[in-house]
Amino acid sequence: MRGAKFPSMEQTFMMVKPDGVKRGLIGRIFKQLEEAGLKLVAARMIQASDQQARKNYPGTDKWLIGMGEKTWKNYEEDAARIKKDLGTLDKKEIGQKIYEGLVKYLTSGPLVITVWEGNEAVKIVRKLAGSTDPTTADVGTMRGNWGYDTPQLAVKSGRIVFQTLVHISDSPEEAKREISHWFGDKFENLGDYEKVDYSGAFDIFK
Amino acid sequence: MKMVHDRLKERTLLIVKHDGVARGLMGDIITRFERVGLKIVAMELIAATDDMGVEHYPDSEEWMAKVGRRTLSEYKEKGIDPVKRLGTGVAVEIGKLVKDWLVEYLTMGPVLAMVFEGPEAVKIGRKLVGDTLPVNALPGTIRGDFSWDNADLANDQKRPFYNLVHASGTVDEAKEEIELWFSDKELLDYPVNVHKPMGYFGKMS
Repeated sequence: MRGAKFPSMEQTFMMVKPDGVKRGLIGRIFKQLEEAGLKLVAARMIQASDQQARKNYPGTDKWLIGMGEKTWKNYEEDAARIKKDLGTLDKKEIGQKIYEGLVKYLTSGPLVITVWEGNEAVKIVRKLAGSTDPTTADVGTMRGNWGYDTPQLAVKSGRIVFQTLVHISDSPEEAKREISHWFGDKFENLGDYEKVDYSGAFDIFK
Repeated sequence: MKMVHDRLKERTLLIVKHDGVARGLMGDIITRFERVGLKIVAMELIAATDDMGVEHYPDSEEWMAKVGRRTLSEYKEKGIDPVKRLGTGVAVEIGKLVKDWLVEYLTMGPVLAMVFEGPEAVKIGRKLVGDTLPVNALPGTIRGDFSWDNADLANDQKRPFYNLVHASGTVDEAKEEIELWFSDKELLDYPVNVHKPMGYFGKMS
């Protein structure tokens, strides 16, 4: 794997969020990815600033309205309940509340920001993290094993945003943006080493 | 007598060395420290420079002698003549050789450096890590469970012996090591969920 270059060799960004850190799940989360053969190429523990958390999201009107629409869907379009829980029916206003909640969540404690490299890394890490809804996340995934929070619980406890343990990149392009956003100028790929799982994978026919 | 606050804030440096990183044992090692209740207050994957490696290990004759004696005692047990093997039987001299190897080991690839915090963090950390020599490290410790290397074999292969992790030896060493690997603002503070039932905040209510 050392220096191996081919199209499906990817980097993905994975962040352990404050709930994962406070619950002592950093090691277990690392282990899942290590056992899948993925190679850690960068890692830091940080306390995000308000600005850094805020700029992680697009924050545009379109994005805010999209978040509002998602909330309407979560509430099965039940306007009375939406009004009661969130105090408004306006999609953009709801989006704004969610935005503030996301920033509050990401800054509520330390984050462990990491970059992992491997064959089809983006998809594999997404699969290992599982669906963000813990009631449907597959058993054996991070959220299936350790998740309990739901949007409904979050709203009822005044947090609005539910805790999902980790953040995982959606695509290789998104991973690039997130790596540069979170690591900034400090990013250095330390992946010039062989991860034991990949031993022989590239020289078996030599 | 240290104040309660200071006792809760004892810190130790833990480094998963490159063999642990390449073997994919970081998660296992972190979990053992998380499970015991220590709080992780800093972490970074670092490619250490030679200078950092040299500074990381003490320069005192006392330390060199201690390290040298470890090799000498293994050699004695195995009936190996240190003069024939290493060109010297003097503990301090052997300690210097070992330091070179340790520096080489610490810089051979990226390592995961971390700071853990909690009551008697240094001693608790050393206990979890186990004896320096894998053959003496008890099962249930990191080295006891995941390693088999020894100085005799490693020296013949002209390399340091691989024992997966570094954990600070004393509170004073920990202070110096943490200063070398992390800046003050990289050391974070936050509440850990298990601390309440563990008595961190006093009597459970």
